Amino acid sequence: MGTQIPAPAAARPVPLSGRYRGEMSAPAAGRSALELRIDIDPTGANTPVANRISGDFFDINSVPIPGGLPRTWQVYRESWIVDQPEVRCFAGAIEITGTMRYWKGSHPATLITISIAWDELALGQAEVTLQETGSAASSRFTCDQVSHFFRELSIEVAACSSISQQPILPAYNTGAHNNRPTDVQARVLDIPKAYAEAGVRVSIDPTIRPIDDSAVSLRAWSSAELYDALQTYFSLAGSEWPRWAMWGILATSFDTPSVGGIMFDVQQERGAAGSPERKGFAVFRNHSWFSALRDGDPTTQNEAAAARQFLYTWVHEAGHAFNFLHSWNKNRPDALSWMNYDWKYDSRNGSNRYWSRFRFRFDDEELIHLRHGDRASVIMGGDPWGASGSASAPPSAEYLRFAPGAMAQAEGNVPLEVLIRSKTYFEFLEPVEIELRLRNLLDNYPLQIDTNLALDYGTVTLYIRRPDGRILEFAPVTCRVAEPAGKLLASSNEGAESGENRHSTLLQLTYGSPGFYFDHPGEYQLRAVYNGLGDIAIPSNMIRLRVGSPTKERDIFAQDFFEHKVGLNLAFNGSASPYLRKGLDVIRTACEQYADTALGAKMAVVAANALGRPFYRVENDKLTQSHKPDFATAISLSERAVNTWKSSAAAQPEVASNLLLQRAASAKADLLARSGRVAQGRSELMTLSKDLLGRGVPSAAVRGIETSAKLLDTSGLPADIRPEGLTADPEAVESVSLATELRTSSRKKSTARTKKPRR
Amino acid sequence: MKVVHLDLQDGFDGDTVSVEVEGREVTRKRDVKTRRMIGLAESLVVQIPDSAKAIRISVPEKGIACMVDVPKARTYVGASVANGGIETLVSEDPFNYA
Repeated sequence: MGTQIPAPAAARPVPLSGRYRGEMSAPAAGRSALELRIDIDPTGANTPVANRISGDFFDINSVPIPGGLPRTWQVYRESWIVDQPEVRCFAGAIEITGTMRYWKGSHPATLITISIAWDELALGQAEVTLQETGSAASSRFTCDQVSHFFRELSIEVAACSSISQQPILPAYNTGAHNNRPTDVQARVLDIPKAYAEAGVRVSIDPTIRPIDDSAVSLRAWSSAELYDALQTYFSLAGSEWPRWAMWGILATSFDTPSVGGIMFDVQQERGAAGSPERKGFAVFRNHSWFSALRDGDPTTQNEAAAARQFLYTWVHEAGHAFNFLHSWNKNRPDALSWMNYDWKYDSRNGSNRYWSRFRFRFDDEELIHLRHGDRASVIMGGDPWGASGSASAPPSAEYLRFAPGAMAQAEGNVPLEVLIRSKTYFEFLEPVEIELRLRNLLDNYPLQIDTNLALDYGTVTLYIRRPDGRILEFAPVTCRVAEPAGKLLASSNEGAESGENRHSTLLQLTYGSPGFYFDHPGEYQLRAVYNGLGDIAIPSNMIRLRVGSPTKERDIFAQDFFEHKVGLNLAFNGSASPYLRKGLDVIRTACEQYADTALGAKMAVVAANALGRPFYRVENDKLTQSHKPDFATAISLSERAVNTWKSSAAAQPEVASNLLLQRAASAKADLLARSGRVAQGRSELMTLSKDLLGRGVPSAAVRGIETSAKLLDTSGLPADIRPEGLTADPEAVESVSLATELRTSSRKKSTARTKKPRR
Repeated sequence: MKVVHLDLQDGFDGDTVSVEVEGREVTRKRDVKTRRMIGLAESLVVQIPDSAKAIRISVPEKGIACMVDVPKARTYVGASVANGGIETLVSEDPFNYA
């Protein structure tokens, strides 16, 4: 498969190939981890050399805990591979170089150099240097060899009691059947040995868990029932994923009798969407393939064929769990691989040819995927999107091209929960807004967060998987740099009841720099990554929402709605600029045409903000006020939005409806106050706080509203508690109260924000 | 009557599949979709007159079709959508999947 390194094996105490692990030594020691795989010399008999180098980068995150050990966790970032590395040998040392190819995203060309020395007893550490072309800066890692295998996997097994006679697990002597390659020495293969030859260490839990199926008439399983059994019997089913672990069941039969085995843990089979996938597979003992299977060595050719097929089926199904497609689905219909069908191969190459040529191995491309593939595409549950994709598909597949951060997954004990949630259905054209909530998970230790969570601060990155399968990173129209807005979340044990251990905000997602993100009906999936104070990164859960199909009327209106000037109005939360007037007109039309709907209410808030504040622009080289606040219209619009959210929240309690009501009512209070009706504005906020308390909103959040009511004056809501998008009325600055002066003087100035150093 | 075991295998993606014998439709299946993990969408059993020598398999919405000779009393046919048409395999033994 590749040229092996020329130095004699006796020169090294152990093979160089295998898995290494270490941390960054420069420029930021300890901030990143590297799992490195070197595949340049044989690690065993029947183990081909792939002549590749590959690796996975992890960010190391840490939060100090006074009086205790710091809470640390890693976040997987991305994987890369070096095809055909150059190897130079010296006395007692080796140097490997090559150009890194990242599986996802855009990266500058990067050269990797790995140096390993040894003495007669042991290998030294692998010193790894990464150098971007045209840059003087480099990154360095120091890694220790941890295994001669490239991956490790554990398998739990269950077996139906009605068919639990031996053998439950396969073992086959490759010389038992006469139809075999004649130049291959016979060897006994079981699942661990078959995968060891592929470079994967497989350990099977010796306890085979019995499933008592004696009392029921079920004799043929469906994929949904197999998935249900996995959830019950697999000890790791409810654990954190991804992991290198699988569950296999020896069951009776499948509801499609011609199926001898299946990897059922993908969305298409099990019927349940989302991650984690590829954790479980089944083999069906009552299939005709295994009718001659016996305990012990085969005594006839039929028994040998059955034993051979039994081994093949177990290894094949576990291969699907590694995300292998069938050979013909990868344009390799003539592959002599565990992942081909004998009859498919024979239909092209002649009867009985597959078994006469098959050497009980994966093909070269599959070995590269298994050992060196993009981690998210190999590890079980590795795709947080549950996309059922495969890196063994053609590399030009578009779904492979998306921001590497979209695959970020945390491993370890994170101190903060990052939760996103929303209602599951949005009307066509309705702006999509979701709740982002940060919750302190630490007992007895408060945690500082940055509450600049709007997407244009960059503290939160959001990924959207559209109905067509593309995964996009939300790119805001604007970019804000600011000092972090710190907030201390109470410890989990002290703040859970009052709500002081958590903080929520609305994220507005409708329009970004590429345009509208939710302009097609269908299912969307969303994930976020919070990059918080102390340069930590924590991914969120994944949510699904559906954008409904349009009525004919909305479909026609969409022609005007999905337009740049409307989008910018939404992004700016309303604008009185004459350049965007057409967009505001469409929004006002939507307010009227879709009054009493979610779309109408959201448009009303945007229009109210545009109309209810002054607008300044340059005319004749002079900054002038081009729009005076139209408080009457703005207040009327915001009143409409408040009433819609009140009746909506009461009739159909929904996630984020409280936040939407709060935003609309706060906007109305702000307008009332700035129009001179401060008492009415305060009353609006106090009514809001009572409404929210009645709906079970935690007292900490409601106290904030009551504080706002006290601080409300003719300048409107204080800036630090004003909902996103509401700006101050500069005409009211001179009439600011003493309280506002004190608040203003305590505000920090804007400074540039430093970002996490790139490798 | 002859029996044709027809497995609709790879390449189906929500298609409608029609099977005709001597110009007459004997079965029609809608929303046929290949299960990628096994390479099989649906298994059909079609009974045809002893006099019939072939069946016609078509995917009308894609405008593709093929004829398959079925001379024996029992035939196993695997059909896949591939390379712009329908490709078939004929076997004396059942197809099995993993």
